[in-house]
Amino acid sequence: MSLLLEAQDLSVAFDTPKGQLQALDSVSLQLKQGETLGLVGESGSGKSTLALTMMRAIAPSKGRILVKGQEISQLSRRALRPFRQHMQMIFQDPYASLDPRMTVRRIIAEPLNALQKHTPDQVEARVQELLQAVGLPAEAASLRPAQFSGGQRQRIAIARAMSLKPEIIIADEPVSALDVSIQAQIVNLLQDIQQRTAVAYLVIAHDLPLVHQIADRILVLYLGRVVEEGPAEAIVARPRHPYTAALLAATPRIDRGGHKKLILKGDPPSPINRPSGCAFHPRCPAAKPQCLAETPVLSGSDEHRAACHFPGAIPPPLDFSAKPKNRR
Amino acid sequence: MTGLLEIEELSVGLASNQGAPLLVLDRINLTIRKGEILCLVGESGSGKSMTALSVMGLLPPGVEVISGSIRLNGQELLGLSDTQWRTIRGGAIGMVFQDPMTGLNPVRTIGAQLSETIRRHQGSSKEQALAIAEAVLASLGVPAARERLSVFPHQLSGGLRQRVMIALAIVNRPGLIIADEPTTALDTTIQAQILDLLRDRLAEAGGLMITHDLAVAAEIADRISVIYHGRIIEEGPTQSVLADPRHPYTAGLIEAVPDFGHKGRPLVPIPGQPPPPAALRQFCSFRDRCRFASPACAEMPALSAAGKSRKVACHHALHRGTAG
Amino acid sequence: MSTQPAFGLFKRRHAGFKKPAMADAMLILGLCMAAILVVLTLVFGLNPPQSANTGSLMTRFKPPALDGYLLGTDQLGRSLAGRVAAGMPWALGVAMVATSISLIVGTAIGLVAASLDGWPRRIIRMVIDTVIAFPSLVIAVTVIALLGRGFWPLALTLGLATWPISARVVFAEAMSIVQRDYVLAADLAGVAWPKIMVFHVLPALRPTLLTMFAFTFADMLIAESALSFLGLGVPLSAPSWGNILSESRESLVVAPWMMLAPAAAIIFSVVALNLIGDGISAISRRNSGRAS
Repeated sequence: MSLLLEAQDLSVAFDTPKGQLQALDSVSLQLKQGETLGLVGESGSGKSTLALTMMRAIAPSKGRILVKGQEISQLSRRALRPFRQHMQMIFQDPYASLDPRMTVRRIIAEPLNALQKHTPDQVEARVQELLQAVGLPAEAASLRPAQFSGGQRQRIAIARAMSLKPEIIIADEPVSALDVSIQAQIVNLLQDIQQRTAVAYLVIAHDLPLVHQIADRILVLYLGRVVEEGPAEAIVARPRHPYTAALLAATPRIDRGGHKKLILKGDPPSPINRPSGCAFHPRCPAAKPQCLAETPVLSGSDEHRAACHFPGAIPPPLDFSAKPKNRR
Repeated sequence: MTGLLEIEELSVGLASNQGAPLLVLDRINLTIRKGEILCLVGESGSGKSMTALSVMGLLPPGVEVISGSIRLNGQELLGLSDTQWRTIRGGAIGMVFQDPMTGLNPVRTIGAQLSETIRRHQGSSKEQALAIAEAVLASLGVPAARERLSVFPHQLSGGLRQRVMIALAIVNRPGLIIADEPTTALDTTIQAQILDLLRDRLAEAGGLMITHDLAVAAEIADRISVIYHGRIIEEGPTQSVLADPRHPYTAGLIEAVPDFGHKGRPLVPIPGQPPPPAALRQFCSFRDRCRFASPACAEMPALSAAGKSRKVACHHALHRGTAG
Repeated sequence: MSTQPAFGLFKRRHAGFKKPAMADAMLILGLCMAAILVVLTLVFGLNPPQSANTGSLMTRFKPPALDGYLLGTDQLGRSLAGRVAAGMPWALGVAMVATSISLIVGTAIGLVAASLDGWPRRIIRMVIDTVIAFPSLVIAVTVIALLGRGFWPLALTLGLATWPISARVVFAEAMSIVQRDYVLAADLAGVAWPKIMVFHVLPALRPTLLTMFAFTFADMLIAESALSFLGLGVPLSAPSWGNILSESRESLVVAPWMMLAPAAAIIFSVVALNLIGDGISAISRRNSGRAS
């Protein structure tokens, strides 16, 4: 199984009037065909910057990005064009990601018209095919985004992303702006598409239960660095990094049974004034002097790694032995 | 026994150019007792925020109360003059908004905003007001409270700003605190801190919390009222409603939300979309999305008792997952 | 419960409620006034009233409504109504061409500046700022000295003196539009930058461009009148509202009504355009609240 998308030691730094902002620091990730990789983090974690950098909307300061083995890290806009066929993006806000003055047909066909040569009939056929694939009626093609709800707009955005049959889709918070009862519809649609086309997803979200539901592997980001990575189940059941444990404990659950409370003090730190050593040490309940002095690197098994000097110091907050709720 | 807040048969309408107003709230009934936290749970367009705004007398232009009554400690709130409202808001009722950037005045310091409301409702002097402000911020876990009084909202983080909003809401010891999606804009770890705070403070008096998140309601509420298309469709003690939902919509919401420990099982979405506000309602608003719908659903079900302290508005009220 | 529910609609002062109707009314009124102007311009353009140039010393300085002269006569006995009417195609025509030049050049340069980065953008912005700083009168006099008087020199002068204003507005607005997600989506879909500018940014600029057109038109009208007033515009014998105003100056004591005709025409046109401009901008503000 080949690597579709890879980041190697990716770093992104911005110059701001207040000093240098290190948005990403030595981030590495791998995405294989048909796989879903979930990126979890709070504000300041760099997750949105990572999405934009992987799409090469931003050029990294250091490190490499490889698409199907070819490096795209520093290519010019023109040189990037052939790669656009392989990677597309879905944005968070369905009210901002569609041009309100264009018809749905033009929106969905835009990537097709930009990167491939098709006759108008071929384009129309493809648009209809995509509308059907995302569960929208054929008449939708002639309407404008204003006539659709948030969930329907996100379907249009998905249709647009799929139009070039990309192997990789990066979804930045694809459902967080939608109502709860609609979120599940869109999640199911995305999984359905993945089953039919073996597309690989890089999903960025702050909602851990959602990411756990759909991702095969999860990467946890804190202040621009990967602090833990591993299979979704392992991350949730046996988190090795104290931040992951705290995130799990803080997530509200309908089912309050068997739930230990661990509330982190303080605020997420600013990327401009990074704490020394391990960036998490000011808030970590298990911090020791070593944590201030030395920045930990990812260590552990091949499958499941954490960047912590004392991994596993916090016991897993989720207890799956509790009786499951009445669910169908 | 009079409740702290009683909303009775409240109907609120949006003026339309077709004659009859579109109903945003349809004969809502809600009671909150002293020391109790009630979560009003609904999605966008359900009318949950309008309920909070009605209680505060802050309905936007074009939206008006059509009928019904809202009573705080027995005193009728509808029809009060602007002067009377100004005594109640910030005094008898405190409100916490979702977005601290719009709830706080960006060009005035935290100290100025806090002391303004303290002086209006408690009649204190400037020094007294600042001392009270400092004390309430410290009690909410704001470090270096004295220094924080002279900063502006944009200089604070999201979590601190929300603490300031809570401070503004509770500093005059209101009998009722209304919180409209107070943690939606916050990071998960900060949300946990704020929910922890709110749980204590809302219960000191009585709290009405508006949210779309059932899990948040599970963390903080004593009772839940589920609102759909402007009507309360289910009500009861939190754990009872969540463990054993009676209305298909409530059950649908629970099944649609991802939860740890259920990976591998697909989410069960609720098909379709919530209907837009309408003038006439004869049939059950949830009928078109409900898997249990039958001819009986052509008639709007009334909210009626369904077990101990439970109410549900459904012809096919569920019991332990099966339809009635 | 013992207390009766309270009934009745509670009247509230709805500050925002009237505005939508107001914007439409303004726009409609402005468009009606503009329509009148357009029709009259076409009529008088194709059929210049003879009374504009025929006059005798017998009929000089007649007050309005006397002897059948609607707005009176001037120092040469010519009908003022006729002169204003004859000047209409000139005034409105010059304003139209000047506005078009100003907006087309300004929009193009503003969009180019928004597309570029670094040095090229800085240079363009410096040019814009420099031309704005230049007193437009100096530019006008220079161009007229080079090109002579007439319709086209005048229109060109006004257009070239004012394009930087449109460029600045377009640049600022384009910079904000370019941040939107749908523009980023088009970029990531491989759409070429010029196409993004034409098919995404330009349509989004439409309300701004329409409003700018209306207000710039009004400005050009007044500018043309001002230049003619100063003797820098039309050939001295031709009827232009500015010219007529200028002539009225000398005879102000004897025939104060001479000022009425051109002033009324200018005010009517400017009000019409301002109403259109305000109406469009109020409506687009109202609409932008709904969809992005």
